[in-house]
Parts: sequence; C-alpha cells; structure tokens
Amino acid sequence: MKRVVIHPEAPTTGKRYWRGLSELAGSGDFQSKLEREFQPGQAEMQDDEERESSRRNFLKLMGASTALAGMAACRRPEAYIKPYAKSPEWIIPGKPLYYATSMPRCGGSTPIVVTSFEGRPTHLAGNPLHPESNGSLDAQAQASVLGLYDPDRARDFLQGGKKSTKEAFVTAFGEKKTALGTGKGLAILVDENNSPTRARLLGEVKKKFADAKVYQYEALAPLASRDAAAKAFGKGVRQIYHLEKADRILSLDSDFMGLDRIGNNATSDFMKGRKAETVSDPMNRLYMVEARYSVTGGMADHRLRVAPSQILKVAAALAKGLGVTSAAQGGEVGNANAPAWIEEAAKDLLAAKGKAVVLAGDGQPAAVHLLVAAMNDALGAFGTVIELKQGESSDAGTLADLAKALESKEITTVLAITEADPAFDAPSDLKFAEKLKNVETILLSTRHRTATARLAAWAVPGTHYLEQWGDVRATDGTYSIVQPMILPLHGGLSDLDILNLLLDDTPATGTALLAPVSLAPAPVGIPEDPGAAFKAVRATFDVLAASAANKDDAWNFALRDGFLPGSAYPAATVKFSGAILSTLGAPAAPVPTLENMELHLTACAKIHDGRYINNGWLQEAPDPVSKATWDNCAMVSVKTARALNVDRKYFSIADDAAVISVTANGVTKELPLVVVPGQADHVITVNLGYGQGSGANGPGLVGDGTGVDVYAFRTTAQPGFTAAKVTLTDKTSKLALTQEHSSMYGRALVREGTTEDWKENADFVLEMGSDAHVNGTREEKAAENNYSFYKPVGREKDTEGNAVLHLNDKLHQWGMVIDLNRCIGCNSCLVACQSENNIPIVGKEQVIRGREMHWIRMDRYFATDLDQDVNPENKFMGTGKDVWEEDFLDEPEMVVQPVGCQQCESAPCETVCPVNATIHSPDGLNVMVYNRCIGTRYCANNCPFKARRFNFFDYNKRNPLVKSEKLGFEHGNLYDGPLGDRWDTELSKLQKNPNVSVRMRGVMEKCTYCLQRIESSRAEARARGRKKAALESGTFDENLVVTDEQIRIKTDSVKVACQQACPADAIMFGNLLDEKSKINAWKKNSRNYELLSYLAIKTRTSYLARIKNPNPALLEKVAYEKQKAGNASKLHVGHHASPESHAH
Amino acid sequence: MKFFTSAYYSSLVMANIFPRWTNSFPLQLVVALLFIGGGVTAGVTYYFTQKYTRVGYQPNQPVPFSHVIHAKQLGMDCRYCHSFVEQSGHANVPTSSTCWNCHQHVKTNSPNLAPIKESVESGKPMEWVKVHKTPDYAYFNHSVHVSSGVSCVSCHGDILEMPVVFQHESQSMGWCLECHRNSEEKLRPLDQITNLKYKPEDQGKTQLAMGQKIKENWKINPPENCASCHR
Repeated sequence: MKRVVIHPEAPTTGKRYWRGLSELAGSGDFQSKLEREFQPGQAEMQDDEERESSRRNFLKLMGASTALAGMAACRRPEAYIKPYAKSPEWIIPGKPLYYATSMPRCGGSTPIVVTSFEGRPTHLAGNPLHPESNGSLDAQAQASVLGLYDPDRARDFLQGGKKSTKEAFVTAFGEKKTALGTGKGLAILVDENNSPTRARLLGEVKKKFADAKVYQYEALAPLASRDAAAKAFGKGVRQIYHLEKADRILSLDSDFMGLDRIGNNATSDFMKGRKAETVSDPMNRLYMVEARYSVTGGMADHRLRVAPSQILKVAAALAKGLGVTSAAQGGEVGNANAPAWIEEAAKDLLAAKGKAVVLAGDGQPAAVHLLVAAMNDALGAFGTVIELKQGESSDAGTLADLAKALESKEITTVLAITEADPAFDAPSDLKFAEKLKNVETILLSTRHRTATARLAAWAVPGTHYLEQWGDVRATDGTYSIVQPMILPLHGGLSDLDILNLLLDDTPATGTALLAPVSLAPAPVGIPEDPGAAFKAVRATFDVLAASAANKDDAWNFALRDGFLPGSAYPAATVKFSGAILSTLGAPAAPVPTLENMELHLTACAKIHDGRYINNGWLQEAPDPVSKATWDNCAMVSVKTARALNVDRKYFSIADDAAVISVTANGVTKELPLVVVPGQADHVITVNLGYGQGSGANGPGLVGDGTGVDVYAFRTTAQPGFTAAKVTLTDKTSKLALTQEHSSMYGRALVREGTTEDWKENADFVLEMGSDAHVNGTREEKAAENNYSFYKPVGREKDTEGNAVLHLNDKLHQWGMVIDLNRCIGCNSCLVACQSENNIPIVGKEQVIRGREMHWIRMDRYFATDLDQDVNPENKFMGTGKDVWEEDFLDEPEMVVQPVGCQQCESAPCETVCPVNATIHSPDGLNVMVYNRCIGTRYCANNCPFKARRFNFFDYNKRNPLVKSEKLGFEHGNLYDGPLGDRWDTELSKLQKNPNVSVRMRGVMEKCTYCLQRIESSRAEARARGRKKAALESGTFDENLVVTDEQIRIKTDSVKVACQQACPADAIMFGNLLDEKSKINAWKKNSRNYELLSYLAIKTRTSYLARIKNPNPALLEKVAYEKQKAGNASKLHVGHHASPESHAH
Repeated sequence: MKFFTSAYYSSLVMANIFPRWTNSFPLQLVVALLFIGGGVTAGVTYYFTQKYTRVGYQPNQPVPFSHVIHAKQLGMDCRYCHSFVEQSGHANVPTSSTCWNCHQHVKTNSPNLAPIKESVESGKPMEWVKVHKTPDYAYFNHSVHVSSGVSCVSCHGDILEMPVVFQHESQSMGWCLECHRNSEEKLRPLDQITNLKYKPEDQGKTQLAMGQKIKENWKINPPENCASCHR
C-alpha cells in the first residue's frame, strides 16, 4: 500500500533559514535543484561536446570490450605475499600503529597522532594527551598527510632549474661554505618555526659565520600582535588564552576559532562555556566585530559588521566605554548601530570583570592590539583569562630588513630554509622577487613549484614533517619531538640537516660538531645511524630535560606521549603599561564608500597562505562561508553588489559569477564576485594564496591555474586591508560553489533558540517545524512518529525457521548526536572523513555539476526574520520588489549544520534498491555494499537528506583535473573512460586506508559511521573477550561461559573520524545500548531533535538545537537586533494543525 | 480525392506485408542464438566449476616448503610461523628471519633454502605465491575466527598432509555463509584450534552437540549481514 506523507506547511512567522539568495527568492534555478535529487547536469550529459565524446567513447569501449572478451577466460594473475625479511619491532601486519609527533605551525605546533599501516602514514588525529590539545585536528593539519604523497612535491636537487644530485649539491655547498669565510654576504631566511633545535643551530651558525644575518618571514605571521605585545609587555611575552574561564568574549576581527590561530585549544576552550547540557548550565556570550562572516562570527551572539579599517575606531570607542584613556580616536564607522552596540557591549563586559576578555585579529594593526591589551587590563583579564608567559624572543630581521640589505648589495647569498614563497607572497612594495634575482639563492623547501624555487640557484628538496627528526614548541611553549614516520620518500634534507651541513666540516660522516650524546636504546624504527638531525634534537632535549632523573627514559616518554611534561614557557612577571596608549593618536581611515572601497585580504581557511594550494582535499573542501571550492573570490555584501550594478542573476549564485576589476596600490586585477550576506558594506574580502600560475610555471597538478593572486595588493604598511577602486566588468567567470548543492526543503532542519526560549520551554525544539504539528509531550510526539511501514522482521530466518528481528543486535546499537551549539562549520570533520574513508576528489568541473563526493555536507544557512519577507506568501513577489533589494539581507545570522547519512532505522533508500545493495545491519547501520551496487541511483533519489554520493566516474583511478585530446578535441580526461590518464600511482596508493574499499565508477557511497572502525573493535572485543574468559576460568571447551559484557565493545572506545577531528567536540558517537556511553546523555538533552521526524524514518543521527545567549539590553537598544528579539516569541508556530494532516 | 487514383490502388495491391529486411531475419536469429547459447555454455563451464573458485590451485613456491615435515613430523604449532593469527586480521606469512631462527643451524647450505638465505642477508623480502585470495572488497579477520572456536582446518583443509599447499575449499561467499549459518558443525574447544587432527569423538563427544553448546555458552552469533565483511 502506498503511504502518502503529507508534508507539514512551512511556518509563516519566526525565522527563515536559507543557504543562498536564490533559495530565499525561490527562483527557478534553485527550485529545480531543490526538487531533484541530482541537480541538472549532475546525472546527465550537459552539452553537445560531452554527448559527442560520450557516444564515440561508447563505440570505442564496445569495440575494446568485445576484443577483450576472450581474455576473461585467462586465470587470475599470480599474486605474491612479501613478508618482511626481518620483522620490525611492534609491526603486526594488518594492524595500524599509532605514533605521536607534532606539526610545526607558524609560531606554534599542532600535536598529532599518526596512524601508520606497515610504515605508511595514512591518517592523522590530534593528541589528547598533549596539554594544548583536546585530541582534535583542524582541516589543514588533517590534510597535511596528503601533502606527504603530493607528486608535485620537491623531489630532485635542482641546480638552476636542472636536475642534479645530492652529492653535487653537498660538494657545491661545501665550496660555497669555504668561499663565505666569516659569512659576509650570507643571509639565512627561515620561516616562522618554533623549533628550539633550529634556534640553537642558528645560534651556532652565527658563531661560526660571525657576519651572517638571520631573517624570519612568513606571509601571514602575526607581526602586529607580536609587535604590540613587545611594546606593551616586553620582548618574547606571549599571551595564552584560557577562553573556558571567560563569560564574556569580545572579538575585534579575530577569527580565533578559524584563521587567527591563538592555540590549538581555542575552539574547545570556548565551547566549554557553551555545553548547555541542562537549562541551568551557564553560557558565555560572544560579541564579534568583523567585516566578513567568519566561522567565529557565525557563533557570535551579537555581531557588528564594520570595515576592517574601522575596527580601530570601534576599539577606541570600546576602550572609552571600559574606562581606558588613550589618544586613539573613535568616530563614525559606517554602521548606524555601532554606538549603541558598543556602549551596551562595554557595559556587559565590565559587569563580568575578571571573566571577560577582548581579542584582536592578526590582520589588525598594532594600535588595535595595544588598545585591546589595555582593555584586557581594565577588565582584569590578565592572570585570569589570559596568562602571560615569557617565550623566547628572536632577534632575526624581517623580510623588509632583508629587502633593504639586498638593495644595498650587502647580501650575495640567501640561504632560504622556508615553506613560505617570498618571491610570490612578499608585500608588493618590497619588490622582493626582483631583488632575489641579483643574488645566489639556495632554497630548502618541500615545495619546488614556487616562484622562489624558480629563481633559486640551488633548490634542495626538503623533507615533510612526517619524514624528519625535529622538535617544536606549542603556543604555550610545551615541547614536542617531531619524529619521522617514514624515511624520506624522495631523499631530501630537513632544515636541521642543512644547518648541520653548514656547521659540520665533514658532512659525509655527519656530526663532528655536536658533543657526543648518550643515545637511548634505539626506539622503534630508528636507523642504526640516526643522523645528525636526530643527534641535534637529542642534544637540545637533554638540555631541556635537564632536571629529569634519567634522560633516556624522559626521551622515550616524550616520544611516546608526544610532549615533554612541564616544558611550557615560564610565567612572565610583567605588567601592562598604559604609557604607550598616548601614542595612538593617528587618525583612523575614513569609512569606505562606493567610490573608495576597501579591499580586505585574509588567510584562506583551506590553503592558508598558499602553501597548501596543491592539496586536493583542501582545495575541494568548500570555504566555510562562501562555499567556494578550487578558487578564491571577491565577497561583497548585497548592498554593495547592488550599488555596483551587478546583474541580479549573479546574486543567486549559480556557477557563473560576475567579474569585478579591483585597483589598489597601483595594481589591477579581475576577480569573480560572490554576494555574501553579512559582509560589511563597501568591503571586498578576498582570500590570499591563490593564483600561483599554471603549466610549467604553476604550482603543480592540483593547484594549476586556481584562483587569482591578490598578494600583489599587499604592502608592508597595510597587510590586512587597503583602499581600492572597484568597477564591474562585463565578463563572467565559472566558480564551483557548493552552496546550493543537495538543498533540502526548509522544514526546520536547523533549529535554534535563545537561552530565554529554552528556560521558558525546555522542549522548545519540539515546537518547531514538523514536530510542532503534534501535540503533547516529547514521548507522545515520539510515539506519533513511531509508525512504520517496515515490518519488524526481515526475510532472514534463524535455524528454527523463525523470522529474524530487524535490529536484533542486543549488544550494540550505534547512534550519533551533533551539537549545533558547538559546530562552527570549520570543515575538520569533512577532511578527516575524506582521509579515513578514501574519498576521492573530483575537480572543479565535476563540482560545478554537483558531483563532489564528500560524505559530510557542511550546510551553511543564513537566517533572517520571516516578518521581513514582504509578501504574505514569503516570495517577495507582487510587491514590485525583489529580494535582492532588501537591506535586511545584510544582517543575517549564520548557522551551520553538517549532514551526512542519518542512518535511518527505516531507511527509505533500502526499500528501493533493486539489488539489495543497501541494507540494514543488526546493529542499526544502514550499510552500503559496493560489490552489489549496479548504480541505478534509486537510493539517492529516495534519500530525503540527499546524503548519498554517486561515483559518476572512476575518480580514484582517472585524473579528473586534466584535459585530454585523445578524441581529437579538448575534453575532460574522465570522458576517455578506460583510455584516460590514470593517477592512482604507487605514491598516491600509499595514503589509502587499507580497511576501506576504494570505490570504482558506477557505485553509490555514503557515510558508514566508520564501519571499519566499528568492525575492527568488534572483532577485537570478541576475540579478546573470549580468550580472556577462557584464560581466567581455565576452561577452553564448551563449558566455558562467556558473558555479554565480556564481548561487548568497551564504552565509547570507538570514535568515528569526524568525531575525533572535531575541534569543538560537537560530535558524539556511541552505543545506545550502553548505559554508560555519553551518547545516551546527549540523546536525553532536551535540545535533541531528529531531522524530518514526521517521515517516521527514525534517524540514528540526531541534532542538538543551537542556543544563543543574547544580551537583553542590546536586543532592546539596537535597531536590527530588535527584530531578532521578536523571533523568540514566534517560535510556537503551526501548533494546532488538523489531525488529518498526519499519515498513520 | 487523390486517394482514389489508380496509383493508390496499385500501391495497395503491391504492398508487402513484411518489410524486406525480414528476408534474412531467420538466419540472423539462428546466428544470434548460436552466439548466446555458446556464451552461456562457455560461461557455465567456466564460472560454475571449481576451476573458477580455484579449489586445488597449487602454485609453485620459490622454496619447496613442506608443511608435512614442519607441522606434522616435527610437530611445530601453526602459530610459530603464523604468529599474529590471534591478533590480526591477517595470518602473517613468516619473515625470512623466522625461517632462519632454525635454519641457521639446520640445513644452512641446502640449495633449496638459498632464496631464504639470500633474503636474510640482503633484507629483500621473499616472494611467496598467494594461494588463498580474498577479493579487495571482502575483509576476512583471522583473529576473531580462531578466537571463536574455528580451526585452521575448516578453511584451509588438512595442511599437515600437504607437501605443497593448495586451496582446499572454494572460499566463495556462499561457502562462508554456509558455515556462518551452521557454525555448530565446525566449532571446537579453544585449545584445539591448531590441532588439525582433532576429532570430538575421541573425547566421547559429538560435533553437533558440542558445537551447539559452544555456540550458546560462548555467545557465538556469526554475522550474516553484508557489513561484517564488506565495507
């Protein structure tokens, strides 16, 4: 019998959640995407060219397969088993080993636990033991394992661009060393690495070469904040934030949970104040002042959008409100709400003295950082929320100093040991690339397809941090050892190696310079001669661990745990001195206007400063806010786009984008434009790092020709923002935005309320969307949605012929909860999932067609008040006004929601599969059987969450990024089918998780709840449990009794990849039948709700609604906030729907 | 009016009921059927026989290792060489140095052992030819089977009698499921797993009664769902 589901009406008051402007406008383009499982072009041929190539291919294929038909009778080829000649210690074939190491980052480090299968690093996770980590890992660190296997990494020693050898380099380097004498003319340029050993060796180098100079540079180093800290507290003083101790946080352009890294724990610390387990739990409050929506801004309870240049004025006004006297000038900031907003925010901060903190963004000038320090002093944040620690101070020069020295011809040789690409990303006023041409450059980097490498006399392949010995300090100074996971794949040298070469007069034998150190009994996998770098690190360690009773033990423990306990920087005994504030009288920049716009340049959430441009996982991860993949774009507000006269069709983002021409600092560039609500008016935000060229002068296969270079706009004086002239061109550009891919109907998919709503009605989430249509308590509502057209029994029969119950596993039933109150939309989970589950990248062309393969889709919604919708039918029609003409669009709230397979108990996909390729497992997983799948895609069509992904091509095997000419005209390589270029090289295979099938063309896939992790835990629990029971009782025969508890997987011991990676601890996974499991506490939270529960599909993944903690005074005083205040009372919608509207 | 012209009538009279191409249709049909029939026959002969499932597949190994000598005559336990079978999904093939533990004293210079010696000295791995091959999309776990009362002999046959190892069972999915559905026929005490000659009758038990009891007491519940092996 056909079941008719009557979809509840969409509410007409309250908030409206939308992903893109065309969704809000209900435009045709969006509707067609919404109503179809596969968006137009995703599942069919799009153009004649494709159709033609496909037809020809088909004929070719048919011919080939007929010819090959006879071959099928051949025997399977002989396969070999190659056991180790000598068993390496600890390695059990088939079982991963986990090693602790640390990833060097600008000014800090990220502690990492590496999963290694027979010596191959395949997956990274955070190190929960480390004091500065909750065990999570951000997307960039997560994706760095792919960088290890990047085929376009530096592999060869290049002399003037020509392939040379290591021996030739060592000889030439030795000669160079002799020629340098005391080091006159030598400049050593290093990146912002916090390695004590490197610093120590650089010190040695300076002793040996007294006239050599050291410079430090990275494009996005937080120079202004460091400068301000030096002025306010003294050199080397570091501010360590403990956001868990703050009740009120105000951020001035600091995306501290995203791009402005203030430490690995910033997000998790912040979320500790947002647990919201019960109604009475205290909640912190976040104020955000920023120009473009950031992930931090999305979490804010109150947000003020102003241009980046105006932040200084906001800071001045705020400082005044907090009673700080300074010479800084406030004034008009281009947002009418600002004065009242700032006043109320200041009051709120003052009321929470001792538990309030202000942060400033890395892109802001030192003046803002100084004002912020003064404010924190006034708020009593030092010693409570902010800990001052005395770190090392470096006397290295800046890049500007180096440029000056190059100019004056003092320097003849530059030894650049850096992952940065100064010839590309240096501020344009330094004209650094030109100056570098006049000297001899020796570059050591893991990236050789860079502008700097092309200029270098010698380009030496550097080792990846997973291939080398090294060490690094975290932001708070905690010392970690960087240990190699694999021998260098392409040979190469590490930074310590080349410094040792510089120091050592007998490089061939290694280590004469260093005092002999007593080596620990060689830990696992260390070659017999561990090399100079190892010895150098060990020597540093012995100094740092001077107090340890046994240094070898301390070393082994530090290697195992990933850090040296008690090695954090000592507390600084400094006080903030306010004297400096009187120097801040410089007038602030005027408010940007249409004629004088502001160009805002930020780090990229994906490729950072450009160093990850060749990382496919990061390139294809959608930007958290703009949702752009493979490119950068110019983000502007709706009002600005209107003022620029952008054709309205480009507002509703399809794949075409209008192109604007931006002129600043004498440079003009054309950029694709994306309208992003919530952006400050007359500000264009662009991510840095893209546009590194193409072809032979490009960064390599993945990053080839992606995006536009905006470093050219950057100057030393104004690295973060600059005035610009903008005009609209009549060009368009293709962008791959995933914004509206896999769109779902409204129906209260994301739910949120305020602390007030929650207090008023603990079950407020069930008064929203479809759940509002059922009266009664939570239990009654659940019962209402508990009908099912599935029989509780399947076709399986037990030995007595009785039908087996569906979900009959009595030990394990898996479930997941995602807390929207903590999720910031940072993409960590998405990349972790990709790494764990062998998910391929598909390239820009395929993303445009909606064929991206990510199992987790990060939905980003903007929310606006429904009452603002002009027309009663919420369509903006009939009023003569288009949605684009509305000003309120620029003041939306932002909510994110990760959606993967919801693992429905009564899964709609299962009933429609003609070959039973998607079925239910007894422990409640909706499983996908790749070897059965014939690719009908019926399941995806029937999935209400659009959570299934189809392999339209053999993405794992065929390179989707290149064009082919095989058919006589240019077309995508994928269309060549089996004749196309492959990219599954031995190198790329090394990264694959051996416990997950690599899917081929024509197969459906989706989130499996990391089935491989569950299954290996289950196997281990059973194998160990039974064996332990036998050994304990001494009974090995049939009389041995094993209890359920003995073979049950230990509570919360299975962590899925996304959960493990989440910096905000927003994902909980566990066994619903295990009372001790945290998942049950999460499911009992009154914020818990299921998506589309009225369909009675009983999803195993549920969500916890988001709770905002707005300031009541602000809601009252500030105009646009008032509308948000109104929403609370409008939550109770559609309460008494007629009973007929329910299907039973 | 033109319908009633003579040309119209003549066309009616002259019209063929069947179009011209039908002339050769019977021949085409026969040829097609021959091809299809041939294909089906060839397919059945190949795919429905044990040759396809490789029962009896006995490749030559680089070293003529005999399980008869080592495991039967010398009485070495399976786990001396396949040492991680209880811990890992893979039952590892021994490293060359494992062989050399004994052979550095015994038959060190036997020409048959030359490849092992070379491997030990050079560190280059031996290339043993794989006998049992699971497809890439199937994940078999040795440890959970041997810890749940399934003996080596159930899947590999009586290796003790094999001078050169061959594939004894089809190891197809149907064969796996047969045991998963009727595991009482194979289960045995945990201390008899590597005793390939074990017979319950020797201890006065019957396999079925014992197997049934093991199944209940040890909570053996062999999964039959796809996800236990395919992922």
